[in-house]
Amino acid sequence: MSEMSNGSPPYQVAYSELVRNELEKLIARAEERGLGSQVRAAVRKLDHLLHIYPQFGEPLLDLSFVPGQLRIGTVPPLVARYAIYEEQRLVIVTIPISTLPHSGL
Amino acid sequence: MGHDFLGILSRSTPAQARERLGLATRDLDAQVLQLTTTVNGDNDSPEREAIFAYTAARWSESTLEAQHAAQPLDPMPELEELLGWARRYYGLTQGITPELLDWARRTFNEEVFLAGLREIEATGGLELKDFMDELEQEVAPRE
Repeated sequence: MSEMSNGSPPYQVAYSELVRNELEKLIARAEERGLGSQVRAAVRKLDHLLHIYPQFGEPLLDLSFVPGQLRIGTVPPLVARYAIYEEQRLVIVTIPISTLPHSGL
Repeated sequence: MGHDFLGILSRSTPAQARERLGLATRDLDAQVLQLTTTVNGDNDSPEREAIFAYTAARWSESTLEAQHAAQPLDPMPELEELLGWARRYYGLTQGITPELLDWARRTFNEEVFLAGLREIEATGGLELKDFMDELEQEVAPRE
């Protein structure tokens, strides 16, 4: 992921093992329902956005021990909750990625 | 607003752009916002990329200022509008409904969040590119 035109470095995006495992189940379910390519494209778009513009989501709550913010963002049919640590330009995803209601998943 | 303005915008941090253009923060935000109403072309056009990069950097700058001042983030209307433009730039027109926000807060599990945080602190965490190809191979497409 390269930096933006004005020199801003991308955010580092880190996922937990739990998120990886739940994503595997979600993709398998999507494949079974004929929505595999849609979900895979959404996962990649979500990851891209988290690297360059994690602020696209709405704030959920402020995190206290290290100044950061938990946000929720949707890239249909996905919903992700993630934390941004602006000082470190770090985004972490430790809560499994879900799907929007009525998404068929 | 000509090529010079866009050139400065695309090659500078917001602070550098303000200094080079001699503009206050809110005035530059307003000028960039005005630019969003006139740019045409593809999403990948240099003009749009410059506005997007500026908006993302402004948000980051405002967040850090608020954190350092131990104040809640309270962006000016111009910046809020730029953020809305940036969402549309990426086709993110579907907003978060109050029901979804409520669900997200109700089902937020602090223990799961902290366990993941500790794991990432200890291991560095996983990157999507580390496991997405593997997932796609494991789950053979049936479409």
